[in-house]
Amino acid sequence: MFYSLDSVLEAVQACIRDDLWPETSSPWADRQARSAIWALEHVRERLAHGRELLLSEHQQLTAVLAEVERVRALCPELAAALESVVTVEAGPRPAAELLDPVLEGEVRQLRQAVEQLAELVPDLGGEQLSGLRDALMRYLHDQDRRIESVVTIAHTC
Amino acid sequence: MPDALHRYLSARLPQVSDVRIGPLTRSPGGSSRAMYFFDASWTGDATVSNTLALRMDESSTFKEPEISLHREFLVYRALMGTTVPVIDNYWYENDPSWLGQPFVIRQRVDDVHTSIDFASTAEKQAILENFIEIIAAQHSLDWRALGLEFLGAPQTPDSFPGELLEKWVRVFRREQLGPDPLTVAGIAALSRQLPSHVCKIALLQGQVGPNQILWRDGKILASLDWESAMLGDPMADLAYFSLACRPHVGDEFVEHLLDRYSELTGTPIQRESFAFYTNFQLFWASVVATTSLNYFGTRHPPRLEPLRAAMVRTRSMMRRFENSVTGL
Repeated sequence: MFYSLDSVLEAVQACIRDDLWPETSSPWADRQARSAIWALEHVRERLAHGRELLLSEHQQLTAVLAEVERVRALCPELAAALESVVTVEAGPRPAAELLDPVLEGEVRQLRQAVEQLAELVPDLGGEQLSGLRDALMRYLHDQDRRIESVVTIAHTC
Repeated sequence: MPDALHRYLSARLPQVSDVRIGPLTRSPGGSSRAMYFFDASWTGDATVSNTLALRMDESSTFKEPEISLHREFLVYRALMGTTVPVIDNYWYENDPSWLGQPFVIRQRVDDVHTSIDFASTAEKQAILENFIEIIAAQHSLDWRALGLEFLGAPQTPDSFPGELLEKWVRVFRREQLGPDPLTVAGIAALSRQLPSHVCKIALLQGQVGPNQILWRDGKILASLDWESAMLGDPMADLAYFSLACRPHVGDEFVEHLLDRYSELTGTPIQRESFAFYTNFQLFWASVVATTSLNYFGTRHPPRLEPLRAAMVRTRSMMRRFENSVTGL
């Protein structure tokens, strides 16, 4: 094939926007056309950057859980508070070793563990836990921006 | 559908004859329930508008028990004739033999704006001045006298914030399709911020914002979307109102509106409660995203509307939710 999937998606978007949309008179059809153009752009962003975003999330999640292990090792008195956070065997590795299905599966497992940690947010005070709290908050912030980067479209629709 | 509506209106309006139903057009407004607009005509007199809207029951976000088309219908009926302007709601029908699912038929008002997005600043300010007067009137209604006890008052006024949070955490957990650390962190933080005192219990709209009204010439004709109506702390409504209005008219004008509310109702703004409900409403937006994603992920064939509702329509609230949780 001498054309990319991205160019096909772009062509479908152009077809909806330039050929079908001007012909619609129904406000509901207008809204559906906008949704379709948005969804195609979302797919294009996911195809172009999805793996890179997932790798970046994987790296950040493993860093958060490494911080949990560090606190457990250094502060046995805090280990009980972190008891609910499961240990995930999914440490940092070169990106090439993480095939897509493995990456997706590990990110899901890591998110689950970090969700357990998130339940303890109000208890993550004090100097000994500040590194862990900062790592978690940074992950939550960056993850929101990762999501935003694939759902927010610059052009009007 | 026009045939079924013809039969339905003929049955509901036995005093008229020759009922005719015009073409149905799907409304682009609202993202959770389908709504169709149509005109009807008949020979004879009926105290029903000829311009009508048909609102269907199936929702792509929330479901019973957290929202209910029937409950919304009863709230509209109770509010008709009060100081809170609403559109006339004529019939709630739960017999699926008509249209395959429950529905409501209500008045449709044409030549009105449904959003303040494209209004001038002066118009926005005038509309929101009018809106805060309506909210003040709504919070001052005697809900018992209006027969609204069926909405369920909290066990005690002070137990309202906890009951509210618990209810929506249940919805979130029921609909969650995968791990969501941000929302869970938000819930954990909210559970430690519960306000200890609620000054009174009033009729709340649930999520009251400037895109849930019909307006014309700077005046509000009707307040819409009562499906999340409940009995609770007025600060909860004001927190959502404030969140929704700030991007339109800025912080200073919203503070002026809140002062005006206090002046009209004699109820001071409870700042501790206000902070809690502001964060709660941001969490609620996350629950909207969760339920919409669930609908998208579990229905066949999947539909784009709930996906877009989850990922795009809640985006600015999700960004603020993240900020409220992380402080970053």
